[in-house]
Amino acid sequence: MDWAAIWLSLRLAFWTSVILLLIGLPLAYWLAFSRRRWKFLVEALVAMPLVLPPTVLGFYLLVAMGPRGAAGSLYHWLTGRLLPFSFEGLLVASVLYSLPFAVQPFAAGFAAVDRRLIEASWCLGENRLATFFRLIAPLSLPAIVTGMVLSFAHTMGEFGVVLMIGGNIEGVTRTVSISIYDHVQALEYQAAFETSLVLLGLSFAVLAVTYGFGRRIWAVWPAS
Amino acid sequence: MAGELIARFEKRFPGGPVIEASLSVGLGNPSVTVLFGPSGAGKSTVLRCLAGLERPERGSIRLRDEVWHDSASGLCLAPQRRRIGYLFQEYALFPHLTVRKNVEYGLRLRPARERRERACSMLGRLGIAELEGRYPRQISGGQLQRVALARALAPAPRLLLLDEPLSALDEPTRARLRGELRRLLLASGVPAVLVTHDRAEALELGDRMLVMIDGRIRQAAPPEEVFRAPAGPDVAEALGL
Repeated sequence: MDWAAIWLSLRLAFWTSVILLLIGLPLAYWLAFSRRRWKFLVEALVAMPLVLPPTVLGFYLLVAMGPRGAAGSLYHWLTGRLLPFSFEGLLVASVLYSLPFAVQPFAAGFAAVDRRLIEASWCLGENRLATFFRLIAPLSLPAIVTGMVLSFAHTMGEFGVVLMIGGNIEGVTRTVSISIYDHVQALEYQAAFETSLVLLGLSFAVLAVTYGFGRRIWAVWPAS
Repeated sequence: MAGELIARFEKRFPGGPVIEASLSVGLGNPSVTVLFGPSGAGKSTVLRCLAGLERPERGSIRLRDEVWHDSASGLCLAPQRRRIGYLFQEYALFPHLTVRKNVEYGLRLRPARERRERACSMLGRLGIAELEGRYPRQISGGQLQRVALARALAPAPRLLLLDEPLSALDEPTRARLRGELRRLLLASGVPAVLVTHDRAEALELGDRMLVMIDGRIRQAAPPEEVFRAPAGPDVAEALGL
């Protein structure tokens, strides 16, 4: 059993969900309420990781994060370190890769809030920010939890992106799925079986707790 | 404090009718101005423009010497800054908050104790003090209306706007609450503009009546006078005479 890999995946999934909460909420708010004509372009961009092969995303990220890429050289200049094959690099990639899994449920939740409630809040003197925290966020709580859980679960299971930009360094970038792949390549079926079982059980537990906690049907996939 | 709300504006919807409203509402004594007209006449749009929820293309809205909207200078005061109370057709109470928290919603900047006291006294004045801990889904339609009224009045608005406040109720309740609503509105001391398509409501609730047909205000007078001498055949028809 590769506990180091499981621990690494848990950490990665946790921080990915936290970062996605911070950047996903404002992005989803904008997507739900903006009336810009070019909004659909941003929607398409956010949804890209759903259809792109992870290797494609990983490849571009590797190039961008490399010492010759803009993001990579900026990061190197700031910290003196390189992004590829590091935990931070993996985190950046995971956030982008799981972006639609957080933003789409968030945005669907916000858009489902009755417009009149929002207007009632404005007429009671509350600005948009206060209206968001006092009204929209509490009413969209199931959607926000769904988005967080999906990002967490999706990051736990990611493989292609990790392989492209993280490689396979124990304790740094060797996540659960990479570890399982390694075991299978080495014909260590018993170890692969055990690690897989942990991942399977964990995924089921997280989803079961989430659905049970809500006790109402949360759309895993937003309607719009 | 006397004075007037004076509005003269034009609002268009793509593919819809043009609304050209010109009205004034006295703010002196507590009074109820009824904006009456058939469905689709543009009454709610006028109310939404007054609240700042819609933006007229042309014209101006001012309350006393305060400019709320002036298309010439591009000024449009946000609803948050107009200090009005708005009663929505289905009341739009916040489902995740108790009755008392709903009433406290517009009082965020005041100390917690004052918020609570004000909410409780407001609920008491409307005769629903015992509902403070309930959630909106647990109370009846008539009670919802009073809670919505308490919530709108709690921040001491300068003008109360009511969009078909009785239409969400069943017919017997509606008849019973008509007289009561007028008493509550007058007792609140806040001048009110009330939208309705029901002539019985207009007659019973209003001190003044504005008749709106096809996006224009055709007559403005006390209800009895409107019913006695409609300004034209279209007004008579709208009144069902």
